[in-house]
Amino acid sequence: MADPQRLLSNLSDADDLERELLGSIAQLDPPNGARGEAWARLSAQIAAVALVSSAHGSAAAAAASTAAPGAAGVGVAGTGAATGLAPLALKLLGSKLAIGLLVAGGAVSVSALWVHLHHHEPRVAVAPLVAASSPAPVAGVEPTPAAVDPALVREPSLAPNPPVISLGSVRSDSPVRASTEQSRQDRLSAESALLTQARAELRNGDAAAAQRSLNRLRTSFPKGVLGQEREVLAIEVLAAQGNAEAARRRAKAFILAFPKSPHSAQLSRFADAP
Amino acid sequence: MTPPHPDFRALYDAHFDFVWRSLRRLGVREPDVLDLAQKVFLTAYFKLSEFEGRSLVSTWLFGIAQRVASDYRRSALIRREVSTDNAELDSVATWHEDFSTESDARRRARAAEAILNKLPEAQRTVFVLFELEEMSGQDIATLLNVSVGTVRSRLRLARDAFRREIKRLSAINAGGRKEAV
Repeated sequence: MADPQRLLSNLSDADDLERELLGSIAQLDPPNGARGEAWARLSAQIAAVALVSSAHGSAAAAAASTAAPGAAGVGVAGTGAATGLAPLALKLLGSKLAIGLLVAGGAVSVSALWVHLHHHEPRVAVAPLVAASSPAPVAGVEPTPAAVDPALVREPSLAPNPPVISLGSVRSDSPVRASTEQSRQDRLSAESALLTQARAELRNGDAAAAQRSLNRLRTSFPKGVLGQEREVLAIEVLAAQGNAEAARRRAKAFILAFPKSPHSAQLSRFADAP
Repeated sequence: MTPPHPDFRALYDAHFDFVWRSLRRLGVREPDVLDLAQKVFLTAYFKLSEFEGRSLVSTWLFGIAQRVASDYRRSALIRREVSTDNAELDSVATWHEDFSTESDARRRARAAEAILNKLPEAQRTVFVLFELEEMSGQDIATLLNVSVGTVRSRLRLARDAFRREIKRLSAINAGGRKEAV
């Protein structure tokens, strides 16, 4: 039996109002700049995780090496073009993410990668801009409104003699590694969800709730992959709460600590505010 | 001609608008769409190796978007950010002349969105896929792992509800206009 006529078709029995309302949804389009903004965030997340995966024997690398042959020759709807997600592409994605996505995205957080690479290493010296005696975090209270979160400040430019990382030194076929990687991805997913929640709360005008979520985020993921994003959001929350001076100081500290971060350009509006 | 080596950026660029639109049509509020689109592509990136090429990439991405939107709606309903309350939706979905300073198109889109918000999720998904994404009944059945008969049944129920709701809101509007006069 054939499918019925679509309501938007002139051949259907829909009336004008039905077509008009349905057509209005059909014409929804993302706002200008949305694609680029989402890509900047996405590429930072992907690159951070993939680089760690490369360093530790990643699921991405494992996926590349066992890429399903059926992945090739996939039609790309929307453009009408035929695109092949060949294993080679997967390997490229796996092995070149650290560089390729950084370049392609043009907005990848180098410092986030650094933080992630040194996940299991002793903390390096904290940069002078961070308060030397930051108080212990108290639930519901931002610990150091004038400085960036100390856990974040481990950018290469700020760390003395950054160690050389060998990306090929770890085997990728270990089940233990795969399990660890799964756990890492689960953690990233949880971290991402909490950050998304905090952002949504702020957008809904509930800065207090956003602050609480950020506090939970900091407690649950003190060395999280999305540490910079968390810090940026914390600055926005400060501004939303009317604490413009603290937001400005913290934005300046962030820019000093992460001059190469794509977020720094975004934060300059706080830092440069009179 | 050998197609150029694709990369994830190309996939992203080719499908971002589609994913964005799909999320909106599946009930994600505009302020949250960007975050969720990011989540869809992040999931897609890590699931890429599981994609077997038996469907279009867009269909596969829609499946991810559907799950992401479903989780979102569940949590948004709990937080009462997405309403299914009749009175509340009516206030959004009505279109009296004095309703808004928004453009007509945007107002109509909001009204339609409010109507879709009333549909059960399973019906809404089929309705969106068939009426807006113009997928065939068979493709929808494959994507949702249900029979074609189930797809047609859900589509019929969704259409009935959609039309019923428009009629009801038209009546409310007519009443509103009469009162205004």
